[in-house]
Amino acid sequence: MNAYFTRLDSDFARELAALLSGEGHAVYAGEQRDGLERMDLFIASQDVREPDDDFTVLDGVNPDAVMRSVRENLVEPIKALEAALPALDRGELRRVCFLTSGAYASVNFSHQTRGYGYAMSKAALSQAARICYNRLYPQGYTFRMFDPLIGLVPAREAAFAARECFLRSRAYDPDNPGRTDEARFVLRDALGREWPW
Amino acid sequence: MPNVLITGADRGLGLALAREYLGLGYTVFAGRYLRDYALLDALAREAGGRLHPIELDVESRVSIQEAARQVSSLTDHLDALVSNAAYMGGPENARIRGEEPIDEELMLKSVRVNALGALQCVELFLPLLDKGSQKRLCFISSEVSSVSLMQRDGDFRYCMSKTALNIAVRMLHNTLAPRGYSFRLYQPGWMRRQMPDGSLLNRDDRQINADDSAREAVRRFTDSRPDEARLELVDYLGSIWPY
Repeated sequence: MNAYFTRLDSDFARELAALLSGEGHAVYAGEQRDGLERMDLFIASQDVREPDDDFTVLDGVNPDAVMRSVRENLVEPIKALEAALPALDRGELRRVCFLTSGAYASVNFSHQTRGYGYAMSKAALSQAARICYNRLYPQGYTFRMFDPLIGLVPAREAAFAARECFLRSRAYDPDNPGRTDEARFVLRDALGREWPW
Repeated sequence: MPNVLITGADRGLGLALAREYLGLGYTVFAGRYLRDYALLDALAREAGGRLHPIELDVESRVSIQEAARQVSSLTDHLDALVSNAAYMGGPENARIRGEEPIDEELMLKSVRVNALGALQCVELFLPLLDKGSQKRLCFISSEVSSVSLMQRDGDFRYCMSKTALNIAVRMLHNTLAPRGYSFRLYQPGWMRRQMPDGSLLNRDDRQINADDSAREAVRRFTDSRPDEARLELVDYLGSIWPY
């Protein structure tokens, strides 16, 4: 299986890449995408928290920090998916994975007062990915929105959880082909929990 | 006499909101952005000095700062802010595997106007709002902000920017509700577009008039609830939408 990471710039991404590589999967990253004939697993591994994004509305908004977050966490993953589609079309798994954060992206649940750029970019990513899912699921694609719980779960443990989430099949009823968990668009974290949108 | 700032008040819902607030006796500071629309000026002439058009491009922090200075020269407080200005996402239907490549600059512009613009308006008008008696913050969102009920397979720029707006509003609520602010998040429905001469473009019989949506909006924007700690997305029919 060919697994592609948009970036390998975090402990989590490197741990997951090492895990997949150790299991015999071919791992590619960054610009290597352009030379790939076939891709099975696409992992948008951008998860950037800008240091100057740590303000409340009372501190004053830093619009540059917000828009850098949006460019890195939202625009780049969607553009990377667009560029990867020809290779994914030729792959067998056709699985698209995005890294996100339930605590920041969930409008239902957020308790955050800081990190507007990160939260806005991840919430927008949820919707952009949902719309891509609506477009691509009928064409045989499946999606994973995954929160590695960085800082709460050790990177190695989160990488193993991601491997399970990204590679294992979700429930389906062999006696009722329309009854499959892949038909739900959900966000799961490294502890196996689903987060509300 | 209470007052309100409305962004994007040149036409359509924003203009109708201004008219509704005027009807309730408010003084209205109305954000003006579109050069080819004069409907706001006509409404100002009818308002007997209670409607003040204010130049306001919510995509520009400098413009918001200048608007805040201008409003500060006219009043010492604001009771309510209605964030209505929006960018619809550009001319072509943006979708993955679409006819055209995804335009990343238009993706950024959608978030900059629809989410960051609203956030910066709250931030920069906060000194005036702190001195108001209502402390009411109202945001025009959309049914397409809902990830749970999203059915589209395209048009994602506008949709995702409204989801970004929703999380920004949630975070504002987390900070400002304990300081006495209350919030309204409103889904106005699919409205007929208002043209520069005031006429309405009817593309589909399911579209509603901005006046009808504005009437319901202002009713909700000016009411009080015993449970202001609850943040919900409510539409023009009174239904609650999931995020």
